[in-house]
Amino acid sequence: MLEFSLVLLLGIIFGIMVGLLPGVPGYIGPLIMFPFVSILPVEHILTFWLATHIGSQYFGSVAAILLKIPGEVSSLVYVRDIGKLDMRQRLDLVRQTAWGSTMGNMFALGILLVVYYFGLSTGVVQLSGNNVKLFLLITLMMVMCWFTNHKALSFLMFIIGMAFSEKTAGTLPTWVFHMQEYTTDMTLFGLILGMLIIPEFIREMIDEKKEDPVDVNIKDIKRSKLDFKAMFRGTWIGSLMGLIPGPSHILSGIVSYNSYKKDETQKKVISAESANNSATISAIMPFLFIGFPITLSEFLLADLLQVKMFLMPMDFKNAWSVFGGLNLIEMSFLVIVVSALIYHLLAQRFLGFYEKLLHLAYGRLKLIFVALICYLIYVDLKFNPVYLIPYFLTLAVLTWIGYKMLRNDINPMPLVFGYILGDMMTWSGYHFFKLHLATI
Amino acid sequence: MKNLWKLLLVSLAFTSLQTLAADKLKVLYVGQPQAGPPMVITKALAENLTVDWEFVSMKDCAGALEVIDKNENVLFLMSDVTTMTGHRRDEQSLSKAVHVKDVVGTTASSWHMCKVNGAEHEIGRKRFAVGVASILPVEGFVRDLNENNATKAIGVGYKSSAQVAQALLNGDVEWGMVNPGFSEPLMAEGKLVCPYTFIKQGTEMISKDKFMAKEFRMTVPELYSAYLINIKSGDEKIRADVNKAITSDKFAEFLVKTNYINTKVGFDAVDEAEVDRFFKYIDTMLVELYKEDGYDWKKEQTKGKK
Repeated sequence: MLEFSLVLLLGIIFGIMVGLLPGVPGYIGPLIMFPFVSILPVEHILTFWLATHIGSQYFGSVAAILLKIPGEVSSLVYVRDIGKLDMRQRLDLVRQTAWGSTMGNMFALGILLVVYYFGLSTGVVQLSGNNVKLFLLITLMMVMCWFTNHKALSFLMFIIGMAFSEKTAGTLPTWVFHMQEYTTDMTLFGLILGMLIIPEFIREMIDEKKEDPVDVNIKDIKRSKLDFKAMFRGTWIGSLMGLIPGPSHILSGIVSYNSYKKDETQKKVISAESANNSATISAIMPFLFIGFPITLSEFLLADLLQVKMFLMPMDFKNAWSVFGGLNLIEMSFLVIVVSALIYHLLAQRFLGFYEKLLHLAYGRLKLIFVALICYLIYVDLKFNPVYLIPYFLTLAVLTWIGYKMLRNDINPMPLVFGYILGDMMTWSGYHFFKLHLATI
Repeated sequence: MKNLWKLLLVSLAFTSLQTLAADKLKVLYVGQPQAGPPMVITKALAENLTVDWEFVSMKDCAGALEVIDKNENVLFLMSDVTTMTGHRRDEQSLSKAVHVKDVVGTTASSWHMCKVNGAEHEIGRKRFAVGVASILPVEGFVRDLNENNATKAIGVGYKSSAQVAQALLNGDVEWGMVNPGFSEPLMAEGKLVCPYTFIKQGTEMISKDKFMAKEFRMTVPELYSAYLINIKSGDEKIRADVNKAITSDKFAEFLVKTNYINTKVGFDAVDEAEVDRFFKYIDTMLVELYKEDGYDWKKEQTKGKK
């Protein structure tokens, strides 16, 4: 029990760190465990992964809301809206999104329990067909591009992003891969840095824009009424969309975000955060119940478990060493509940901590941003083995394009999301063609 | 003067430590992020080593060849699929770094041909979709099946066997080639049935009588995905340790439990003929199933591709 508690505690600490630190990928949990696979039993690997996995998503919104730098890619969708809010509103939004995340986690867990104890797992998998996925992706693209000031340009940017995204479908024609040779040293975070973060910083420097009003006092913050409606909308969208293989938490965040009108910034953010947190939990369902890894993090974990000669899904029914009456699936439910509750309590407590951090940052924001950008580049290079000169050249070109777009009030999000969802859309389009149109 | 000696000693110790770290066995993996059977095999093997090792991940074969070139001790695995893909795209492959004396093992994984339990569909003249992990030359296999048996199959590639199994369960495809690691647990639960196998010798759950090539005419009867495990090192201690790890009971148990086939491990078990067989399979697949140029690995070693 002591060992289990320690592993859970470590997982929670790492989860908070991964979530709070921008740039650190959400799938880092399995990578952290990589050197310790031989000494850790499967239940500890699973516990650590779950706690880190949930935490990285839970706290991913904090940096996005307070600093406009997304802690996780799923927070990217609303990061441009954050500029409309002052620091008091942002701190309040952090509190709201924490509630939304907890609600998302708990609701999705409820679905997991129902599916598990009523034996509905095969039925649930039937919801993840390619037609559903393709319909969602196309709708999403349409909505995202339609609600911008430059509709045609947005569509074009989405297509360009898609074209240059890294493709994993080995059966695509060779020219697709040759085309990608030009962007092989462009990373996702490099794109985000170049198109969004650095241009924004340069503009603020050139315009000598006043620093964010960070001199706030937590006691002055008027706590707004919790928006359970927005939370619930995000929660059910995320719980359903989490079953779609791939980066479904990002997808559900975008869908949920776009389900509100342009000026409803707070609702959009709360809903998107509730959605990506519930999707994170519901995506675990096919993995735990049928042994299908459907997200990158699950793929990495499945490989580690295979090294341990753990056979999925049967071995998930093995008894948990701490409480023999429970199996590893039930242990996972417990870990989800405990982690989510601890994260919730900490997130509420952390408001005071964030406030202190903001006081410390007052007057030094420019310096902090430069340090953050350097740190982000370092982390990006650490996780992506790219060649340095092409990487920095690409970053410089992207920054120039991003800056020009910012000056002309062109939203680069369609390009970024085209890049993020490009592989998923290519797979889905390819499957549609093969399943419905291809001739023998 | 006294301080200078101290400085020299400290520098010497530091340099020695650096050198020792540089000599650590590099366990190399190609691909980002680190996922898939090659990672699983190399990691499972490395777990049985007693010498110090560290995991190195490179995003492509060009980077991996640089690591092999610059380091004294490197354990690396090359797969036929990456080699075939690289050949088709005119990219470098690890075959450049393969030397028969350094090949310490070979293994492979294959598939069962499965459908959902209760589905009445049969492989025949009615159009049907076959889900295949995209790493397999899916088009080539399906075209060959259609040409030789007058079937109407459409090959649909997926990221992995897990996703093929999911496509079967959600009704996207009628048939799927699923690795035994995924298909057999689902068979045990009554969710899938696998009437055929591509594994010639069969498995505990599916007998060799259900070998696919017994039921259907196939130009390449045995389809699998093979791996060649290499140790580049002049250090006899490291070579012996790798040999001991790969022939250990624990690694053997791993290969059996995770359904790897055609395994040959240890320096004594792998000779030039075995390495030739590995590359011949690549050649056969490219020529017979893809109708492309053949693959001569000895010629590849002298090529200076980009």
